[in-house]
Amino acid sequence: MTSSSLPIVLYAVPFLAALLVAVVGWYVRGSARVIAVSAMAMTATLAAAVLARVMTEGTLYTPLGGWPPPLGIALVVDRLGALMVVLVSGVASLTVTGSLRHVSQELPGRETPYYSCVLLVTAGLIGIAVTGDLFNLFVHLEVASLAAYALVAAGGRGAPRAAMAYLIIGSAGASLYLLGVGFLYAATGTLNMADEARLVATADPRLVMVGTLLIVAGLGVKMALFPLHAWMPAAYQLAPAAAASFMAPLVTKVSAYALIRVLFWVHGEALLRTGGALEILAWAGAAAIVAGGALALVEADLRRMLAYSSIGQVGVVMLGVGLANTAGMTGAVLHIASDALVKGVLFLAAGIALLRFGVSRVDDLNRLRGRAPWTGAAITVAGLSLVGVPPLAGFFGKWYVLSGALQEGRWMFVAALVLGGLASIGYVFRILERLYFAPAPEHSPPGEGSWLAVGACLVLAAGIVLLGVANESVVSTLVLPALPEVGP
Amino acid sequence: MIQPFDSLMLRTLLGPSVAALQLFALYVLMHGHYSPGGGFPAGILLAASMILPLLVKGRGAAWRTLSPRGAVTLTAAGVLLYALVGVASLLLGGTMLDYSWLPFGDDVANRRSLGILLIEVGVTIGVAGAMVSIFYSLAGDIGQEGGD
Amino acid sequence: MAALLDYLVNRGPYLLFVVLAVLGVYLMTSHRNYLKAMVGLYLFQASVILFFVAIAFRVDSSIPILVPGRTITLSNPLPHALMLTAIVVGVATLGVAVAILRRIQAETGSIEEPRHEAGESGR
Repeated sequence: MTSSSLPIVLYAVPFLAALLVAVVGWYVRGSARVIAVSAMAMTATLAAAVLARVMTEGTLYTPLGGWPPPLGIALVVDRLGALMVVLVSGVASLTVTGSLRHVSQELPGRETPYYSCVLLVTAGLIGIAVTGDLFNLFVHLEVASLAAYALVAAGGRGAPRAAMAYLIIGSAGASLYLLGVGFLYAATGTLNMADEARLVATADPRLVMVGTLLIVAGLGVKMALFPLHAWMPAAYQLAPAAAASFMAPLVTKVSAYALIRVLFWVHGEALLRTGGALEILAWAGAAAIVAGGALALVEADLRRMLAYSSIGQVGVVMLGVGLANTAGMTGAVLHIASDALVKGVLFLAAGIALLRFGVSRVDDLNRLRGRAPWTGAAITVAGLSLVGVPPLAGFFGKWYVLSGALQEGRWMFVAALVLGGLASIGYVFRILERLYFAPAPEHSPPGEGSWLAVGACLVLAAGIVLLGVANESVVSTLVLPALPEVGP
Repeated sequence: MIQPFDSLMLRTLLGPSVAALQLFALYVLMHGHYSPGGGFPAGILLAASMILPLLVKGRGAAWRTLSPRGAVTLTAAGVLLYALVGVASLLLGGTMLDYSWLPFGDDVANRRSLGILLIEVGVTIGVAGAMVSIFYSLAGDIGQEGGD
Repeated sequence: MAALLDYLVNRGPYLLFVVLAVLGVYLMTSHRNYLKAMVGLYLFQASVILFFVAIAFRVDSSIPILVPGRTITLSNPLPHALMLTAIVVGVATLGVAVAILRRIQAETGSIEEPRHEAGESGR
């Protein structure tokens, strides 16, 4: 397959699979999950192939429809995009495979629309990662988001209301992004990201600044950046466990990546510093770290607590982006990867706990004691990575952002990171305490739960360990060449 | 539940209205190259022609109606047609959605024009299915078959 | 007076866009009824669409359709095409919202936000 068609095939596989599931799924029993799992596996393989190609050949480029830029929509996959694609398809395949049993338990008879929506979300996220056109980003963002609203609404009591709140806030955010793109288009006359980068320096600065701020606000809603995070806790608490384990690690992270792409590849660091967008992002990130940590600390429901923790981690990423030096950006990218893996494990394990042991509150985790050793091990690895214990992956992300903040002498940000770290110690150790030290109840169901789910948790946890241990080579070969050009 | 809103005038006008709507949908689809139109409004007109009998006669009346699941399948089939045209041009040598590689028509402009027409047909079918499915979900009929 | 008229003629669509956007946001946030919030959302999206179409206009231009032999200025067709997509996205969003609303009504019997906090805190 030629290099120029690889990105579009990568996008086409989950998209076509979603349509195939909708056409065939109701008429051939069990075909929905077969198509979904095989499509995910194919996507993951193609993503690895894309990464290999990008490492050897440089940026992959696909002019859709044969129209050359700036006339047509172009797909551009550089190193960062290839990293994101591998992350998305890898985590998505593992969580979807791991939650096969959960889906048939929670959503019996509704597997066809469920898997169709899951594949649509995957296709949308991959589309965001490979696109090189601002409006195309909006379309993929909305495709992924609409399917995500449907997935959240499929949960039990209270889920439709949470989905409605998510829908209204999320669509408002997407409209803000679209408005920002409109301002940029009015300023430069093009939507192609590369062309825009060329023209934006000489365009009307007021239009560009307003457009940038609107894009930041819109994507900030999508990634649940404090204070635009209100939709997230209820949505991830009440969604079906399988859907939460699939969406929570990925949707917000890909939106964060989209912001990095638009800010640094289209605008460039010099332009952003004069506009003030970076300052806003850094302060919002710091506030998110503190607020997310504090709210997670006092939360009693397990998945709601994990959602607040995610808000905190997105804050770390945005702080790294806002600092915009090499260390900060390295930390941001590493943290995107490590938090996707960590939340994949934690939400999948929360699904096991919910569906096998009936656990929805943190205090009930003692039901797993002694019964679920493998799940407990995966939770421990993920929890320690969340706290930031070396040599696990989570340490390095926070460490790079911290050194970026120290480098700039921003003591408020250092304080925010430290406070967030303390809070994460608090809530992670609450989980571990209930898991390992609280007395087990008398009656517990035997067995640990679906071996697929436990297996997926373990593979993701192994990924966390691997990313941490191999961190230096990962940073030097994959991350550093992928970064945009930023300061020291 | 869709209650029929039956009256002599509506029942009489139903036949000609549906026929006119569908013909006009076809016209708008074909003429989208040269005037405002194309796949999206054609799909909506087609959907209107399918919803009107439901409103007048209710479900299960003499007219064959699209089941809720059928509507969703139709939507996916329409989008699948669009995607397969794109994939066909990929397989035949060009890049995705590059209609100049399709195997009919004489020159490049003609091939692109025909390719666009094909995908607009897919869009029409997809939009029609989606509108009927939204109508069913608004009317509360979706839950009846256990699908969502 | 002439300046005001001149402003309205040249910048009128942008003023309208601002008014619609603010109305949409007001509707989204002030009502407990979800249907009204949905209308507000669609109004907000419509205002963004209006903005795009407004920036496509060129002075003394006509509709962007090529007719052989016509030499008049054409307005920019790209935002129109983009907004077709955006309108469809908006309609699809409304469709999903309607389906979710049906679910809410089936579950709770009303389409309004409850008087106290909508999310459960699990405490």
